[in-house]
Order: sequence, then structure tokens, then C-alpha cells
Amino acid sequence: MNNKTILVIAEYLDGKLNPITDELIACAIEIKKIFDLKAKDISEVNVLYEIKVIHFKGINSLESEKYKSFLFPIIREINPSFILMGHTSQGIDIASGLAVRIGCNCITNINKIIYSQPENIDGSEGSKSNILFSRSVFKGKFNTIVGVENLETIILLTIQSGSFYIKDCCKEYNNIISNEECYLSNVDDSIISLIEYGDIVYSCTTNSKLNEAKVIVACGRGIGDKENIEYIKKMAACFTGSAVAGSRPLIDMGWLPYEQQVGITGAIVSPELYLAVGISGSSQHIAGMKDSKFIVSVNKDPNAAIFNFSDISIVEDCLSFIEEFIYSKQA
Amino acid sequence: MKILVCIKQISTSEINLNGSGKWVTQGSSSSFAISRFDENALEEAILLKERFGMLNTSVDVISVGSQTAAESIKRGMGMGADNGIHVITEDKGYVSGSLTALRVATMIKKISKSGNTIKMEESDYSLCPYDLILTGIMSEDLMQAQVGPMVAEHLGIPCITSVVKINFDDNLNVSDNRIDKIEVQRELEGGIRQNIKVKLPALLTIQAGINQPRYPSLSNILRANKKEILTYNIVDAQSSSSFDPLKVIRVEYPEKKRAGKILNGTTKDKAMELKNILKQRGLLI
Ligand SMILES: Cc1cc2nc3c(=O)[nH]c(=O)nc-3n(C[C@H](O)[C@H](O)[C@H](O)COP(=O)(O)OP(=O)(O)OC[C@H]3O[C@@H](n4cnc5c(N)ncnc54)[C@H](O)[C@@H]3O)c2cc1C
Ligand SMILES: Nc1ncnc2c1ncn2[C@@H]1O[C@H](COP(=O)(O)O)[C@@H](O)[C@H]1O
Repeated sequence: MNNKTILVIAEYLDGKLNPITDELIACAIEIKKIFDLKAKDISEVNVLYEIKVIHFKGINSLESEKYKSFLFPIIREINPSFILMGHTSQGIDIASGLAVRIGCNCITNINKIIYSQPENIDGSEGSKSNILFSRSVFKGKFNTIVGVENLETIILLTIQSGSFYIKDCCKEYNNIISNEECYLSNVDDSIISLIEYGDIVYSCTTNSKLNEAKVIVACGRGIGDKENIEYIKKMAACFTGSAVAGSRPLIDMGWLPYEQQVGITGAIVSPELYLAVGISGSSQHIAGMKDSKFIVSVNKDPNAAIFNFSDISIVEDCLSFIEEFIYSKQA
Repeated sequence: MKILVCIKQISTSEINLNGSGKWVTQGSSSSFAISRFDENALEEAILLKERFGMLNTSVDVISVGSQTAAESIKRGMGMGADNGIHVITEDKGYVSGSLTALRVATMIKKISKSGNTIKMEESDYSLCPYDLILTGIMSEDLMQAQVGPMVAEHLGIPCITSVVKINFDDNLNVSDNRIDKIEVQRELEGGIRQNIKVKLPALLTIQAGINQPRYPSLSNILRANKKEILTYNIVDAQSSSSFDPLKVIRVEYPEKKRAGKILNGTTKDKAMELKNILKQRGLLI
């Protein structure tokens, strides 16, 4: 029996386990299922994929350069087939650099694992593997399905949060998931001495009116001009208990204050109604509003990603639509 | 202080699936821009140059891409970059972060700087010719967040991602006409930030919101037009599809997570219908 490892790097912040870790485990199970299937396909079961979750102790996971130096020998020793990390600020800071150091494949921001019959794969240009990975491109409008040529090389994946869920059926896998604690030993690496990691600052609270609002009217770059925020305010005034919010670029440009930013680096909201106006629907924005009870989007691009997360899709120029809506409400 | 900014040219025209579903086509009126986060990175570099003019600070921009990328390099020089570097490729379609990073790093190792001028050396330099390298946190089209950290690793210099503040003034160790160490703040999820001090040379990936990129100035554009861009052809002519460890199999629309009922008719019809739907759900009175 030939064992292979799918290595999950548990993520911690302030000593607390980050929920992304569960998603990583769910993703690892999907990978394992694909290889179990493949083994069945070619009627040989001589490779067993096991899932190992490692929890690093005695090291602040935000000290990325240290973390990389620490992980490097461990990965060398385990020699896993896959390494899974979150596509989080920590994952982004560590994964790609580490992959270069190891000399392995690295694919970031994965939202789906796909099993593909080998014959479906174009031989000359395509991947020879049965496992393909989906990642979001062009503001979430498309998924690119990618594979690697050589499955013998380690593949490091970072996983887009909100893409994988631990389902009940995963329980049967409990026995093949092992948890391991690793302690920091002295690592000697010249890069570490070049960086001094300082304090964490909780700069601004995301504790805004947004959390109490029943209705949120959120605008994005599609509104075109700062002045047009006035339209959004008028739209919001149509509803009771409403608030105005924005996608990150509007906050970055100073059109709205930070408290009104929705998304992974802003507020996570779930109002009764979320009205997205001129917002493309990048994963970082979706992460902040996908649990809203009812979602209505206005975008001039019929294929905008936001429509995949909407109950009602309105393909229109947003300003004309708002004008018409306000007018129809008064009528 | 010698600063390099990695800029990627992106298409701003309409993007659709191509016939074979293997990649995308870009609208007939091809229009281009510098990827948004890279403009932030370049603005930050120019602010540093203005602040540390006395340290003989210069800013170069580098872009890997087809002939049209030269336009974005010129725009970068219009914003205030001193030199432009163009690694010319013939790639069509997806280029993985690891291949782009390798190309950027290989080019950086070929560059030698003296004063404000750059030269390409035959043999690779082992040392990083720049004190500071800035990239965007991610490219607007491929959204990998890879190229910066990978370039840093190839060059053996520290890397800090998602930087939202570079502290120019405090604790700066200006010695020997160069800045020894800078202090930055990087952003995590949910409004949390981390303070970090790093010795130069280092690579930072820049998050939007750090500044407001300026428009190119006429005088800079005129100066840029007179100046030659340092070009390097990927002579081995390895097209990305044969050279890239990553293979793109197809491109598809993401699955719908919710019904996404499309409202039809005139703008007015749609407004009326939405009003009725919201009323029915008790969301509008
Ligand atoms: C680490 C990281 C964290 C991030 N965190 C966040 C976050 O917390 N929140 C967030 O929002 N973003 C965040 N982002 C940015 C995110 O990736 C996107 O860049 C951003 O969400 C896009 O904002 P947008 O939809 O307003 O703009 P765009 O993506 O430019 O979309 C504009 C949309 O408007 C449409 N449009 C244009 N004109 C019109 C018109 N006249 N009428 C109707 N529609 C029109 C276009 O079709 C397009 O879909 C983060 C990015 C990174 C790298
Ligand atoms: N072709 C390129 N030429 C120059 N810089 C690039 C290129 N592609 C990516 N970069 C830089 O790397 C950053 C991250 O890109 P990516 O890894 O594709 O998300 C971008 O913001 C750019 O600064």
C-alpha cells in the first residue's frame, strides 16, 4: 500500500482556530474522493490518500517569513501530494512564496474541485491529470478550469472562503483525518532577521449602522461618479430602516466612509433586502453579503457575477433604473 | 533609493467566452489600462520619490506582456516613472503567476543601475538592483495574488502583502544615502492591521485605498515619449502554453447560487415589477 497525504494547514488568529479550516478539510475530502474514484476506475486500490491537519503551536501565524521557514522542512519531510491553505490574508502572505521555495505547483483562490475523465482532456495542450481546479477570474464573471501537467509534484492550493462546506456525509471520513500539533523548533533562516513583526491594531470598527439596517442599498464603481451617491441615498430613502453601503473601491476613493464598506475586509451583513447597484460581484464583496435574505442587483452587464447571487436580476443602466424606481414609487 | 514597480496591462473592453470555450475574447474596440492595484503601487512609489528626492530616488516600471503593454509603460512614465522595462511575450490567454514571476525575476536579475539609468547585463546579477519593489496585491483580471510573493522568493528578499500604509517618517534609518529600514502596515480581514518593520531590499504588494493615483502629466508624457523603453524579447519563444506548468482546460460561467429572476420590458416595466415584488414581500410600503 502506497500512502499519500493531503496536508491541511489549520489557520489561527490570536490563538483561535479560523473557520476557514473546516472548509479546507471539506476540500481535502473532495480531493480524496476524486482519487478514490480514480482508483476504482482503473480498478487498482493501491494508493491511499490520507488527510492530515496540522496545527502549529508556539508560533504566531502572522509572522509569515518565520512561518514559511518553519513549514518548509516539515513539508519536505511529509512530502504531501496536496497542501491546502486559506486564500485569506495569511494564506496570501505565505503560500505563493513558500511554493517557490519548495519548487511546487501553486494555484490560488480555488472555488471548486472537479473530477474529469481523462479522455475529456485535450491531450496535446491539456492536463494529464483527472483532477481539475476552478478559480475565479475577471471580477468573478468566469471560472477558469485549470489542471497541472504532472501530479507527481506537490500542489499547493489556496481556497476561496465560502466555497466548501463540511456536510453530514463527511462524517464517514472522520477516521481518515488525523490532527497533529507541531511545535516551533529553532529555524535558522537569514530572511527572518530582516523583519520585525509588530502589534496587531484593530484600526477601525466595522460596527456600523449596517448591522441594524433592514434594507441595505449598496453601490459600486458602476455608479460612475461621487455625486451619484445622492441617487443611492434617495433610493434608500424609499425604504424604512435602510442604510447606504458601498463596495471597497468607493471607500478607497473616499466616496463613502469605511464603516459603510461591505465585504471580506469590511462589514459582513445579512439584511432582509440587499440591493446591489453597479457592483460586479467579486468574491471579496460576495463574502460580505451573500447571506442577505433577499438580494436584488442592478448591473448593465447581463453576465455580471453578482447576478449569480441574486434573487432578482435587473439588467439596466443603474441611474436610469433608480430614477424610474423612485418615480414609480411616488406614482 | 531605487524603486521598481511591476505593472500589468489589462483589457478594459467587454470580455466574453470565445467560441471554443477555452478562453475569452475581448471586445472589438480593444482598450487597455494599468491594473488598478498597480496604479496604487506606482503612485506610492512616486510619493516616495517626491519625499526622498534628496536620496537620489528613482522609480522604474516593468511590465511583461505583448507589444501593447508598451502603452501602459508609457502611461506609467507619464505618471512620473523614470524608466520603463518591457519583457515582450507573445502569450495569448492565461499565464500562471509562477511563469510571470519567473520572467519578472529573471529580468530584474539582468538589470544594473547606475544613478538614474538602467542597463541590461549579459550575465545575471546575483544581487537585487532595487531597494524596494512594489506590486499590486492582485491583478484585476487573473486575481492570483501570486506574482509579488513569488518574485520576492526568487530574489531572496522579504515580502509583505496587502500593504495599506508605508510610514515615511518614523524611525527611518537614513544612512549612507539610503534608507535602511521602513515601517509598513498590512491589512487583514475585518479591519485588523499589522505593523511590520522590514529591512531593504524588500518587496511589498500594495492594497487599494493607500492613495489616490494621479493622472499622467503632459510634461511627463512628453518626456516619456522621448525616452526609450528597455525591451527584452522572450527569445526562447516558449509560448506560455507549452512552458506553463498550469494548463487551462476551459472557461465557464459560475453556477447560479440563487434564482436570479430576470425582469423584462422597459426600464419602467422593470421598476414597476420590482416595486410590486418588494411590496409583496413586505419590504416596501
Ligand atoms: C484582499 C482584498 C480584499 C478586498 N476586500 C473587499 C471588500 O471587503 N469589499 C469589496 O467590495 N471589495 C473588496 N475587494 C475588492 C474586490 O476585489 C473588487 O475589486 C471590488 O469589490 C469591485 O468593486 P465594484 O464591484 O464596485 O467595481 P467593479 O468590479 O469595477 O464593477 C463595476 C460594475 O458596475 C457595472 N456597471 C458599470 N457601469 C454601469 C452602469 N452605468 N449601470 C449599471 N452597472 C454598471 C459593471 O458592469 C461592473 O459589473 C478586495 C480585494 C482584495 C484583493
Ligand atoms: N504581466 C505582468 N507584468 C508585470 N507585473 C505583473 C504582471 N502580472 C502580474 N504582475 C504584478 O503582480 C501583481 C499580482 O498579480 P497576480 O499574481 O496575477 O494577481 C500585479 O498587481 C502586478 O503588480
